[in-house]
Amino acid sequence: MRGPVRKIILFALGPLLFLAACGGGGSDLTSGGTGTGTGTGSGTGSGPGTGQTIAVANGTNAITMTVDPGPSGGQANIPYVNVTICAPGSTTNCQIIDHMEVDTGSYGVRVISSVLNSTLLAALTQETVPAGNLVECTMFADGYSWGSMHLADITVGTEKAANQSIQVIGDPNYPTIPSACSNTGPPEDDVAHFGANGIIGVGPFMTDCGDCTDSTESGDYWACPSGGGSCNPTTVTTVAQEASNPVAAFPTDNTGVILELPTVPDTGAAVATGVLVFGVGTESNNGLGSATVLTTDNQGFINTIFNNKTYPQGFIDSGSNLNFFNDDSIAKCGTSSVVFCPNSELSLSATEQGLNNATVTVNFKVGNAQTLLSNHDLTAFDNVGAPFSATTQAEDFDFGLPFFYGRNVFIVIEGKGTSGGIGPYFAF
Amino acid sequence: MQHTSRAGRVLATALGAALLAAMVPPTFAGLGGNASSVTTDAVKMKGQARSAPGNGYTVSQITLPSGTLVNEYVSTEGKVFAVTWKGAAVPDLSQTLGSYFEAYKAAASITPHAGHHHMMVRQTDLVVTTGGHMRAWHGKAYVPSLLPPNFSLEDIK
Repeated sequence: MRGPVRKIILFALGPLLFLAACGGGGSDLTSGGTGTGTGTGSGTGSGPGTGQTIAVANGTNAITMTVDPGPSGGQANIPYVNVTICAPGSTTNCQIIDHMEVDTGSYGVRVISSVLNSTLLAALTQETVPAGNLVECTMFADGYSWGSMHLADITVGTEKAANQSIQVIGDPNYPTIPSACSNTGPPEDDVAHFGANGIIGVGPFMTDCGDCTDSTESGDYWACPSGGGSCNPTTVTTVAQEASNPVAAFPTDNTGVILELPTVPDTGAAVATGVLVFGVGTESNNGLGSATVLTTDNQGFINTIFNNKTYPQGFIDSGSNLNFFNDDSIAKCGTSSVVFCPNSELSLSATEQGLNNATVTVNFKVGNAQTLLSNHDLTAFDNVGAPFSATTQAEDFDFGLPFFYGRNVFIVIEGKGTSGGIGPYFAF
Repeated sequence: MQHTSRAGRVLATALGAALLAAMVPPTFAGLGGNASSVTTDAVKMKGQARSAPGNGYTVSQITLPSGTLVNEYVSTEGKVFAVTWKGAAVPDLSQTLGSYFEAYKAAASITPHAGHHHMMVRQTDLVVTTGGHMRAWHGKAYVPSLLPPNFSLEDIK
């Protein structure tokens, strides 16, 4: 077993996870051209196969996005794209970084330092604050990433965000990690532990902190001496120094993104190839069409109504590789009870409700995650789920990457105006 | 299913001698610690603590300067048997998970995982689940062997 669940349920098999899967074989799905979903979605709501049209990866505002085993192997349901990073103002001191994770649940561009060639890294201007060089402790649910902030030009397709503050994770110039950072979990400072060469956070907000210009209390930003030595909490001088959603900084096509992944068989797929589109309602290939707009609260949550209970912390997140929710009636696997594994695939339904009271019915499936994920040749699954919290109630309902297969998911950034209204919102 | 050894212990060291002097062996903070460690945790994390009684246990809520809320569940026997947290910033888990922090780290870092928005560690003597997305993280942890009799896990909010 590999990937998300492996971390959860099969610690003992760690070494297996580094075996690369045989990508490209088997049920490799591609969608280079314009296609129409061929499924037979049932019910009245949005479900895979209800007429999805995937944009052409034109290389300008639409680029190929691939779900595969990842740069170190062993991942499942993680979408990756290529991102070009250049020294500020340069068109030659550049590097194409593959396997950048597309994450709608975070903000900003972060790259593992070992991936960057030394010429480029040396030319990425170190961000500074009065007390020293700016370094970030990025907190995730499963650990932290420590690394310095640098200016870089970010290009995807032909969309360019100039002079962006990006994080160089694991920068060897800053080996002294404050305990306030390292005490938030295990480190994820290299490719093997991060599961990607970097991450491009394109969620519905602009920055990863928000008020770090005024307060140091979040523990995100630190002023450090180069070469080691103790760091101190710091504010950032300007919001632009925070890791920020690069899409918002594009000159055009900056309203948000669309994740367009094809349907995959219920038995899983070796690879799923789709398209990441930049801009919503800005070009002929990124209109909202008939998608329903669901506005979010100031933390990116919507309501999810499931089994007659309303979960006020519903969200849609490409950085979650399973659907995470509670349903005591679904069997859970093994002694750890951490993934759903019903005897036969279940067809379930939930209602997503925005702050604007708009609703969409979502039909989704839950298969035996343990069986599905144990197939080392497969990386894309539309029917894997896990109890958010195996034995306790929670207010979350997290539609992860399984949700994205077979439907185009729009993420519009806070403050950005579109024909469907002003972000932040999800639409599908 | 996993059997990760508990690799370390975090001592509560910051409180004044008055509180610690009478305690032998030294108290451990956070999960698994004594009731007094709630105060330790509040002090070490610079938070404000207040308590509310439950049925056979007490919930102490610590509001950290970051705005993150930490709940510590203390049994009538005086043990912290569960903790939860919620906020934009992950709290100091060495304090919150106490002597279980090293076991959590070891279990959580064994395999690479690019899904950074969830983590679950489930061992015989420790259950930790975390989740959320950037700017809205949360987690909960408990020690099965320390749960009060008849305690419902659904009461861990």
